[in-house]
Amino acid sequence: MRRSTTLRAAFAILAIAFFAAPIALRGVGVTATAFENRRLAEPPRASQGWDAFQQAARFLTDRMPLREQAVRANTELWQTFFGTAPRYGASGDGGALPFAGQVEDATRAAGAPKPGGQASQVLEGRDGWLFLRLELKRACTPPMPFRQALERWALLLSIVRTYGRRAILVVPPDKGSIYGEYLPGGELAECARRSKPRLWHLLARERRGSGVIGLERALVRERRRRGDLVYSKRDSHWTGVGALEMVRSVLDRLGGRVRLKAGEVVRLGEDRYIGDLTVLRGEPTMDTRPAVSIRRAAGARRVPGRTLFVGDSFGEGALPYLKPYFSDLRELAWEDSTRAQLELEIERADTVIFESVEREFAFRTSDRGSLSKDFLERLRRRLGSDP
Amino acid sequence: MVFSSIEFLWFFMPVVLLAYMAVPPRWRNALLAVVSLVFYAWGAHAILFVFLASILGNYAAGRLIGRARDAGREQAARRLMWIAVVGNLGVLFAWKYTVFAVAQLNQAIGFFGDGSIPEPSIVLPIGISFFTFHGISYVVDVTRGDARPMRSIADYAQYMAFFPQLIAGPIIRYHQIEDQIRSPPERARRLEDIAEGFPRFALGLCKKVLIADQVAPVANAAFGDPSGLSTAGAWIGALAFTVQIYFDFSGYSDMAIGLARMFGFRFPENFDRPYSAVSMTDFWRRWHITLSRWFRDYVYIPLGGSRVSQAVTVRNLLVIFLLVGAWHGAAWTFVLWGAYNGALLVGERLTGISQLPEERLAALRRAATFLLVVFGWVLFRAASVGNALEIYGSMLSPRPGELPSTMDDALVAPAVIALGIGVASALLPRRLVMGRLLEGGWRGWPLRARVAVMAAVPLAAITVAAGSFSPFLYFQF
Repeated sequence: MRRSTTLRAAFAILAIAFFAAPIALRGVGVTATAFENRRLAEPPRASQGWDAFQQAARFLTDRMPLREQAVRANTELWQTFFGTAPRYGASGDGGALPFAGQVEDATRAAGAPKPGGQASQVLEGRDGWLFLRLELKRACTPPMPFRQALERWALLLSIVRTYGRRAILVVPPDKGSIYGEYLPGGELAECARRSKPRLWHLLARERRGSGVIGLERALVRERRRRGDLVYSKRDSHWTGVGALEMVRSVLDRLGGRVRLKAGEVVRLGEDRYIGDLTVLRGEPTMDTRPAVSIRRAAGARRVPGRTLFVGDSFGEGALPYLKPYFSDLRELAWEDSTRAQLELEIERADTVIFESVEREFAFRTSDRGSLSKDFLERLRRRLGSDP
Repeated sequence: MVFSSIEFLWFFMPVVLLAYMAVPPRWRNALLAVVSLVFYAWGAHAILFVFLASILGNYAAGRLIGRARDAGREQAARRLMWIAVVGNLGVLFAWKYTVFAVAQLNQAIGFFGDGSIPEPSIVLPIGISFFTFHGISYVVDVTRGDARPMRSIADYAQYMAFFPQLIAGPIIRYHQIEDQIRSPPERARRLEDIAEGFPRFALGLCKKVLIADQVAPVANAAFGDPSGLSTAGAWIGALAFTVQIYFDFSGYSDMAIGLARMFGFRFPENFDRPYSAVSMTDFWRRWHITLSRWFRDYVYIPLGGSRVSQAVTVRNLLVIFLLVGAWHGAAWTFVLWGAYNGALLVGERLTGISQLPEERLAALRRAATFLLVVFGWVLFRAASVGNALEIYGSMLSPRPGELPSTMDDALVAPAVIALGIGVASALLPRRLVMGRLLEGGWRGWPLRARVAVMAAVPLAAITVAAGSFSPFLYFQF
């Protein structure tokens, strides 16, 4: 009897510890830090209405002590026992109980990848190189044929140019297009290896006047020439050295006498960073990459007028090097801007630089992307009515 | 808010437990009613008002019925009961079946000519299938005199809204719980209740996150795009869903039973090793028991049950299973799934299989029943009847070929292990019921079972916490 009373007390304490440990830790000052490549969620506000509940869930989730340690432990467990990285976001309810009704999924940050979208999204290649699965998947099964996608991009450029603006499109390659020898084995990678050149051949055939710039050749050349890493081993993006190739190509088309001069590039040795692909695998790891910056003389010539840069995270990485060459460079991210914003900013600009990484090239022009037929038609009407 | 989420486990629960430990027993129901309504609003948003209206409407109906019965006006009590039942079914129909009904009407209109009715955009609110059945149970039990109406609105709201059963049951018939609501346990028993309930909750959490959620992507891959599935792919998908639905649903029920126990309630069992059933009749005695009993008490027996002619019994069984099918979802797949189960039960009744002693050809009958259940789940899970037929086609005819890449991706080691454990669990001896073991004393096998569950729960906790991981892919400077 006494033994069972002791056991019950022990189980009750374990139960309370299970539920209350994170709050108790928070109470004694243990706090969570941002470890997911994004800021911690803001607290909920009454003005959010019912969505305040979901915001509260994000807020509480992001601030739960030990969550980062749980992610690391989970990754460690998978790697130790299953020899593979976990598939964050791949599991879930999966509609097993249709009669339960629809419960809001509150744990995901707004704009973060959707559940299921992250299934084994990082692939480990040779010599520890990491690759984004989406890169290979989109190369293998593009959301629309590359030729049609290119036609739609060309239509966008033509609309913007017809109404008096200068416009170009730059397409940075994904890592696998430049470091293909490090891609993992397997059917998907093989398929991507076969498919990727189709896009680059198509873009290479574009006339200079078309305004479409594929950066694959420039980056391959730069990689061979300098031997520096133009892409990070554990990140999905290019390094500063790679990003400079975009600056060079953009200025070559739009800069007139404004050019990227070798003397303006300052080599800073190496900087430390946490590769986004390691974060996606749930094991944020510090790495190094070559660092550069731009130093221009005060009063150096700049591209005049108002320039709009519409890009993705590759463009975001190149902007610090691009800005010193433009007198008024405004930026918009494909992901964060509405179509109305896009129309308005294009209307206000003298020059527009569109940037889209390889894996998004045929996605953005598909029905699910920003550049639908409907959008292009609206843009045409808007620019056409501009006095 | 789902049980296997961070906000429930590590924010909602500690706050509620702390408040529960602090309040005197007489405030327990009011506290649980309030926190349950917050729990509901968290996921259901404005549908909260529909739920509140349902609580108030049924509460008022119960009081009026009680008064009519006390005054000896049985007819009036019955009339009030019917009004309340129709009201509850009306709510259920409006939110669950309107879209389906409009789609069918449009098909019919399209058949005879032009024109269509605009389809409303209605998302199935959480828990509506359960709280409407609780409402019906209340007014019927009070009318029948099986239970007394609640005097306190807080007590009644607690019955309707109690968060452990709100999303996925079990369905608690009012007469089963009335006394427990009226007499909360003393303060001194609370820690004991928590100790008794937590291992059961932990068992459910492990079943849900370590088994069901792991195999879900495999089932999703098969049912998401069944065209051209190979025979192996179709079978793997069907088995994955068979494992997923059982571990998900019974896991939820275990969590609900454990949570309820932590607050001093004893909920009825909802599962009893259904995949060890020796016939479909036996399966339905072991699967979603509280739903079967609800239909038995409130529909089957009033229709005459089995104490009528064979033909009427057959009709009753078919009616019940069509309703059971439709209760699970507003789609033809669910109706057909209900009809399939009803037809199998009728077949067993007419051939006498349901009357055979359990031990007779037990292994063979278990295997046959399991296969029939797996076939049934294909209808249940498929997005359309056409998709279900595709999968049946792949299962029943030799279609060689590789697994689709989505399924290949989903079949990582933990999913394969979970699938293996899930299928193997169907082979265990029938008497081994983990949930029941955890209800036992504090020595021998029940104690070992509790310790085993407690050893696994940190893994489940890590999985839940890591499941919220949602990094951004962006350039770092």
